[in-house]
Amino acid sequence: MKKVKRILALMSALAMTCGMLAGCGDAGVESNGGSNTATVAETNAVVDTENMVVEQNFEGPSGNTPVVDGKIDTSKFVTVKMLMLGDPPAGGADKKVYEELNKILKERINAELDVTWIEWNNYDTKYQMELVSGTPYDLIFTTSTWLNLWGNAEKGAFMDMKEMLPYYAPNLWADTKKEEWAGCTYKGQIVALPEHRMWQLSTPVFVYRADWAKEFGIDKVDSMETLEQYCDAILANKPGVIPYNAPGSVNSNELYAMWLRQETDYVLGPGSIGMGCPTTNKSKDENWTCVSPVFDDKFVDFAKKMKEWGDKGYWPEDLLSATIDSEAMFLSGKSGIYSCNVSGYYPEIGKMAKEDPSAELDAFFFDEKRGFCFSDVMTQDSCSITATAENPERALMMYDLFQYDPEIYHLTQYGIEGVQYVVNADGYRERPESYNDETDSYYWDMWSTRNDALEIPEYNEYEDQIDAIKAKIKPWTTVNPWGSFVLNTTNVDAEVTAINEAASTWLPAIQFGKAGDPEEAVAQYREALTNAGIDTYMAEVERQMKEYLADQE
Amino acid sequence: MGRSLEEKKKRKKAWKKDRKFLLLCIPAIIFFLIFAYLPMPGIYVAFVRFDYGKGIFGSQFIGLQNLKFIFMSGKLGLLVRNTVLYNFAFIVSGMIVQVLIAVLFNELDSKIFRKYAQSFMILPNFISYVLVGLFGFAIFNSTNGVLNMVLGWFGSDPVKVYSEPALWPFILVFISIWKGAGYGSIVYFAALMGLDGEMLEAAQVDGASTIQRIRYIILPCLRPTVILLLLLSMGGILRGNFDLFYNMIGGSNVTLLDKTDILETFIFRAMVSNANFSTAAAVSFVQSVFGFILVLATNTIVKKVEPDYAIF
Amino acid sequence: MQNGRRKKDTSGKVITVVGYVFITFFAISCLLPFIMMTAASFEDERTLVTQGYSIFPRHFTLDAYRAIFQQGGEILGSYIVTILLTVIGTTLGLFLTALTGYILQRPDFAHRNLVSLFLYFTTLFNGGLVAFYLLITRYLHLKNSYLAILLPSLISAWNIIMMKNFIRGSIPHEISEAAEIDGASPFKTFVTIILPMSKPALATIGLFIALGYWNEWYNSMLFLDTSVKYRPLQLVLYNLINKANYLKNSLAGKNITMQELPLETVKMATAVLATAPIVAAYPMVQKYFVKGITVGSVKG
Repeated sequence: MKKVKRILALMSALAMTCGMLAGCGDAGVESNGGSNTATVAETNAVVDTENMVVEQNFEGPSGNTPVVDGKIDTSKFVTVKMLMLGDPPAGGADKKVYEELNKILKERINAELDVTWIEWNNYDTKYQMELVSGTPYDLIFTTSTWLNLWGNAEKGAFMDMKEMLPYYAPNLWADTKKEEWAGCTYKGQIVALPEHRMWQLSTPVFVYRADWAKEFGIDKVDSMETLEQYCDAILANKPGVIPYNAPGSVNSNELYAMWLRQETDYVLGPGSIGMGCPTTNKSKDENWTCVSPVFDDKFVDFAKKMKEWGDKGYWPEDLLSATIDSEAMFLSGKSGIYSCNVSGYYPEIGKMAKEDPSAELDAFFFDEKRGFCFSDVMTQDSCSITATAENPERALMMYDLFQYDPEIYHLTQYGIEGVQYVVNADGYRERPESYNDETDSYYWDMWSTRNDALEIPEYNEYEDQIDAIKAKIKPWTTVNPWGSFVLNTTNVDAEVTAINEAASTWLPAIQFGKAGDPEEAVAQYREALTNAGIDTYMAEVERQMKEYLADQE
Repeated sequence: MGRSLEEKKKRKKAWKKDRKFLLLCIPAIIFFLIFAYLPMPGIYVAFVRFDYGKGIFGSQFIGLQNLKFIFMSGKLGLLVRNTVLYNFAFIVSGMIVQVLIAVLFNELDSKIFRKYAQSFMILPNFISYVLVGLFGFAIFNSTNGVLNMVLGWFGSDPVKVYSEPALWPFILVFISIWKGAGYGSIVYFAALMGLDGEMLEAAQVDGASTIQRIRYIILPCLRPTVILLLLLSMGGILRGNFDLFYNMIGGSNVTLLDKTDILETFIFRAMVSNANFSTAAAVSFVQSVFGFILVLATNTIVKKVEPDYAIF
Repeated sequence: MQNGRRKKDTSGKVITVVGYVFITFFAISCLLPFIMMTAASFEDERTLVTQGYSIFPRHFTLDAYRAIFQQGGEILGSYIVTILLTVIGTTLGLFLTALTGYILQRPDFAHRNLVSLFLYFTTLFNGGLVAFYLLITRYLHLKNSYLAILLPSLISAWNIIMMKNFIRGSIPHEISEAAEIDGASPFKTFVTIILPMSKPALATIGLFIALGYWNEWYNSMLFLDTSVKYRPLQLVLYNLINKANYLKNSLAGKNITMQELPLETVKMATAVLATAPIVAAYPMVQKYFVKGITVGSVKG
């Protein structure tokens, strides 16, 4: 067996050399060497973060793109395989854009990009299978919020980029702060690239009808009390409208999210589980703790209140078994509330104006009362290199161009100028007249390369309103205090699964007041959590947090 | 001594004679070797803490740890009870209705009627459970459901179906029957095709009534098929129909859970935004072992009573 | 009476009446949701979402179908792929199933139970998703090949066992024996005598296999990625719904602006598109069932 492997290695080495020789022999092919070597950016040659010394020579994990005397040798043509999530544009315009892109990439770094999409349909299974089968993706989409980045990193799926970054992604390396890298680090390894140059804040809201509120004499919905007034008034004055006409599912947690932010000091941190989040951190200041709001006395009051709301008919009687399109209900005036994240609120303004020009929207920002909101984690949308990748170096070079080279940025983000977009006299990006959505539709789903500095804004009628919202929430931004702390669940896997089951069983029913007597339901929820080992789990989280803090000092 | 030698000879002879049969089975055997037996060692993933770098067999062995969370919940008894009882109800009720339809069908004269009725009856098989769930909600919901509208005509009080656990076993069994009847009755119908027409004629000449004909000729003809299908379904007795339960009830209607929570729905809630294929494999393995034991037992009994009807 | 039925006795009359009533009622309960589904597929999205289902569309529109044909890409090609897969898979699969089933029911095959167990075991135990995925992609190299869809569903132990049961119930072993005394091989007996005699069984099992291929989307989802231009119909339709569903409800949705899709009516329309052809083709197989067992009587 060993022998076979050695022979294979020898053969492939031979093949490679032959290829290179052939390449050199054919003078017409391309000007290797000179133009294809880039100098390691000067600004970074001196960067020394955490004892990282950038030397003049660096082999790189694959050996296909070595750094020799401070210069990157890209004489070997390589293909970088990239995996993105999403359904590719229906008209196939993406392929034309990649063709353009590959022309530039070939010239700049002697490489081409090969994109594979994973469609939304069962994306999690397919994503896992890609990792299991060890397909050598050089760039692979990942996120810690819904694709289990840390779990996969723990299972050895991704490559450490720490050593490569200063050589191959100099712009990114220089533009990223130490604490930003910390958010991408797992057990001392940089396993993901940060989404850090696109400002966004995820804060949950209830969008409501400001015109109705005015009608009812309610100035503003900004607390549970005013929300109650608003809903009561809808029930009294708007026959046929259900205040919050929405379905309930195992993922429902909006009312709990509201309560946490309105009535308590609890904050959601790295130890939270699933959508039910039965564990949180004590408060903004005491954030290296793990506690459960469910065991707080106030949780019983919350359950009672929600039972009262449910009995009054704030939401549909059978919502836990229903499929309801809550957005459609809201837009057609059959619901008074639409629950979403602030980023889901922006498009709603335009949609509502189209449906009913007389409608006015406003939102109940759960975070407004406390006046802060942790900024999104660095790995909200992210990109990694698989452990089996064949050209991680060139991949990083490419990624650096995606995010920091204006020409390539505009091409990858918007498509081909003149086909997918044009820039008008006011400097706004808009669709050219020839644009046909069926054939020209294009998008780029490697979201972490977005960079505000290189954006060409799109003209939007409601820009002022959106800007006002952004201006309102921006001051709330508070940097996520947990840095690179990532929970390792190895010791508590069974507990996590069992707690997740208890929470997805009980939280939706309790928060909609559909679990019978509220006190009894809360008692049962608590018992289920206790059986699931929530105490063991919380102790483990705190232990790891302490250990992490000790390590930091 | 001599006897065992003789037996050996006999066996050798049997193999020799069987060669021509085995030869014809080879395509099927190869097929199952490749697509079923080759990946079978993958079951091992159920017992490890999976590591991408190390692969299935390099990963750390942790035994039945992947199933620990089910025991922690204290709901194992309830889940197994519900899963088995529902399956039992589905199998038996489905079988009765399917046999009934096949037999009644056989008695009806109008060809056109039979043709259309049979075409209509297989339609539910094409309606996914997602849509069944949507239609179910349109009928049963307490705001504007058809059921309560009809009850209202008769002056009855509205029924809150979605918070009334006692109703659900009936509803679920009904839907299971409804969905499988047309398709399932085809099997029995096809089995009736094997019936000897002359035998029926003879019965008629002897003056047998329709009831007698059904009782003594038609039903016995269906017996092997009934036994076979019962035997086959034993293997899946611990495997619940997730799509049916989830789409009809939703994921977290707590009031109904005592009567409607099965293994699959429980696991779904545990795995929501927390997927793990080792756990999935572990649960599936236990279900298979349980089913296999049950099938072995029933098959042995069947073999004693009716040797021809056993699967193996 | 024209098909040779005897005059009915009292119990026969009662059973006939019960039969008509019961089956009529049942058939209507089966037809109704299908009609509602079809009506909903032609309904205006907003009307459906806010007012629910009905027997006739209140605001007739082709929006849902238009959306499918616009966004679903090459639907026509998908139909062709699915039909080809179904036809080839069913023909091959049915032949192998019948052959194996026939051999396994022969009383003179001493090891029939051993082989049956070998087959049956696979219905209970399988290597799981990971191992199966690795087998298809890494060892058989069938990623993005139609063979990855065709081969794994070709034969199932379940169908073989059913076939075995049917043949044993309808064709006496003496027939095979007689043929083989005349020197025919078991294979020849199977092809020339057994196959023609087991049409109802073939139709039944064939229908099951065909439906399996027609409805197959899971393996297609795993093994055929977007680089395959024409993918099986069910996958294409399923993808369409999932994409819209997913973007509507998820974290990732915030990043994407996509065309509004009339999701609820599209769900219905996809179900209609996927079902219609097979419902239309069903009568072809059905004739083997509805003939009933009176055939023998007519002859006599």
